[in-house]
Amino acid sequence: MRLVDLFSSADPLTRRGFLSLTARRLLGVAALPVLVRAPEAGGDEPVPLGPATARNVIYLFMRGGMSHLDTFDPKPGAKTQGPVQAIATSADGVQLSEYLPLLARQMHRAAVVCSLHSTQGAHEQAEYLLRTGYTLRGTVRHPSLGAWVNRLAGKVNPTLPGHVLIGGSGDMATAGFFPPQYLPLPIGDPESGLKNSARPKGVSEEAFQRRLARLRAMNEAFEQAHGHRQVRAYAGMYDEAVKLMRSPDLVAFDMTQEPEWVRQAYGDANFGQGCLLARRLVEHGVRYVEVVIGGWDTHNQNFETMSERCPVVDRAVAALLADLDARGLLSETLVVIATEFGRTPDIRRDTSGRDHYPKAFAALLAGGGIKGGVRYGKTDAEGREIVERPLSIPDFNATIAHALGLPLEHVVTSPEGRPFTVADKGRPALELFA
Amino acid sequence: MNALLRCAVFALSAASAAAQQVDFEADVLPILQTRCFDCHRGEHTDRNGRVRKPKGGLRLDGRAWIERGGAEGRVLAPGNARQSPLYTRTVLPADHDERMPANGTPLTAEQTEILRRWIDGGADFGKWIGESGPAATDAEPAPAGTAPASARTLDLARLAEGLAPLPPETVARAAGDKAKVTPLWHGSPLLRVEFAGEEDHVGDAEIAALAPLREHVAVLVLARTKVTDRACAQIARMPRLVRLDLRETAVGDAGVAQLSALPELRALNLFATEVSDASRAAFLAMPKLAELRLWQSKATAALVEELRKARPQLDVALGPALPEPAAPGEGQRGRRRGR
Repeated sequence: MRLVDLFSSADPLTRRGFLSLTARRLLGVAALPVLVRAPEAGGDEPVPLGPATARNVIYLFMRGGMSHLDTFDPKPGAKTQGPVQAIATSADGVQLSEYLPLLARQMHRAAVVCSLHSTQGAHEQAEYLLRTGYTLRGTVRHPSLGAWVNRLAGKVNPTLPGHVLIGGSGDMATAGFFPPQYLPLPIGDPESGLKNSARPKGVSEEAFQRRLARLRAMNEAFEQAHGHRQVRAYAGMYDEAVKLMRSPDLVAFDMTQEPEWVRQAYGDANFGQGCLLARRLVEHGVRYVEVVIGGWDTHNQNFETMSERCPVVDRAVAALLADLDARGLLSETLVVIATEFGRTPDIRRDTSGRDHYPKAFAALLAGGGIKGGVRYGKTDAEGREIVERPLSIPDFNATIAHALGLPLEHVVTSPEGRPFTVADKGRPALELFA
Repeated sequence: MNALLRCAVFALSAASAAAQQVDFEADVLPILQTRCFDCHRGEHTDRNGRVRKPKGGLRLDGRAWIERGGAEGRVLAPGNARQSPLYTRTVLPADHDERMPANGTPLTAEQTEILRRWIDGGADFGKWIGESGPAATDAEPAPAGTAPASARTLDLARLAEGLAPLPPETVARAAGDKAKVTPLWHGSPLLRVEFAGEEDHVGDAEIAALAPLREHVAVLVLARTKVTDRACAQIARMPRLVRLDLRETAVGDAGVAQLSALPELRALNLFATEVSDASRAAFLAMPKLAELRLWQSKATAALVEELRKARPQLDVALGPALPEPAAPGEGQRGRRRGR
């Protein structure tokens, strides 16, 4: 990450924000500053929530632009389809590409959205739009959907972070102009779990208590002299951190608790284990978990790459949906598979690849009150144009927000005095709800 | 001017402003007429013979129209100017695309202040009606807010009919410091009760303490708590309980037997509990049971088979059909991270 990005990602950037960001990037001090919730920092007014069909979100981000034709919106027989076959699924009338045979058996639980379109055709801008609902601008950093969810609906489990990002890159871990307590907790490798969350070796419990007492004594004098909201918030961060260190819920991050056969069912890849960790976190009351998998930017060798990449997602998501359902968690957990844009129906002759295609692409929604076994929207016979019920990116985000009961019209004002809402002006696709 | 003096002046002007009531027809309507009506009134033909429709589908020339809002949703939240675009759009920075009025000079500070005070004071229109409002068929559905939208929420709204919300003190007292109690949605009398983060400290006593909420609890999440069969006697007295999550608790057949009379129970999660096939009769007695989870309990496939036969609509499964372990070579670890 470049230094200039550090400055633009926290807005307005305080000295402390800068130090904390720098420490995170340079020293790898990932967990604590992010994990802790500064109780009084926001001073946010309570938000009147609507009826929710979902409590939690597991958001699976296919980074790089996943081909719609080769996954959720196959066009068997069309010249744009190339060599890929379509297969029947557990839902009548819904077909998937042959790269997703395990997921095909779970389609009675899921809805495929075939009519997404984006206004952006470059990765950075399209990803930004998808994650925030707004167009990338130089003047403001918008909060991501996960930050909005936690800001408007609050945490479920008060000792765990409300928003966890698994396998994403550093620049994705921002809360835009929201206060730092809405930053996601980044987890690089799901199997190494949460770092820096235990008392250091060589520091006894007594010594730790003494240190905290000394800190409190020093803070108290300062707080009395400077009773500012931010000062209290900073002191509160320590209390929250200590609470987390002692929380039995830390076990949620410990993947060794899972039996070997379950771990194998999700697949050996980072993404599969990330999905399993996401399930564990949701079980313990983390509201929003995002798992990222890249490798979809198939300008070259589209079919070769897809045949390697899809099985990872196929296995992980099939396992996740079945596992969540058997645990009784799917009815309140919305699982989303999304990507920033699709790929051209025309196959490049020179590279056998597909290029960026924001005009029409696909996503998947399951659980959390979403109808199973259905298809929303439609593209033409070659997957080029949307012919039924187009859904914009803000509409898509509004649909997720609607499932969680977030008020789409609730205005949060940025520090510069500009008004923003959770999904810009998007309208939810109500037909997707059971 | 020193800070203290500035404070005093500010307080004084604020006080005098508050004392002065805002009257809609005398103070607000003239602003709307001179600065808003040009774009935001009913369809009409202008001097050049052009038919002009209200911009953004928003009309401000009648009380019912203002209350309905425009194509982008509501513009007025009585009592809350900060959530009312009718006010917020007028105080955007000068270069903002969405600042209103779109043409001409911005509203004066005095005018925006009148709007703010009028809305914060409850947006009382007095006797003013203006142009008659939209016909019933013309009314756009309110975008997702407090109106229940899906079949699931309509079902819950019906269940709450005739039930008044509990006073916050009653809820707070029953919740104690461990339960998180929230209404199912803003204004709903029905409650969701959960104990995330406190599971190790929650047992039958905490459930007994919920007694004052028993008419209102619709969702009860007791996952991983220390509750036992004894808590089920208390839970059985919750007539509007729709969803009960007992996963990973010590609850067994004796507990489930007491739950059989719950009239509204739709979803029962008994994942990793002590429940066995002996609960068959209790399950079949639950009139509205639609979703039952029994994985890692002591129930067997025989029970699931029987339940499915007796209640074809019941969504019941014992365990997940997780994918078989991968063939060697499929999905190698950690390949191609990033794009």
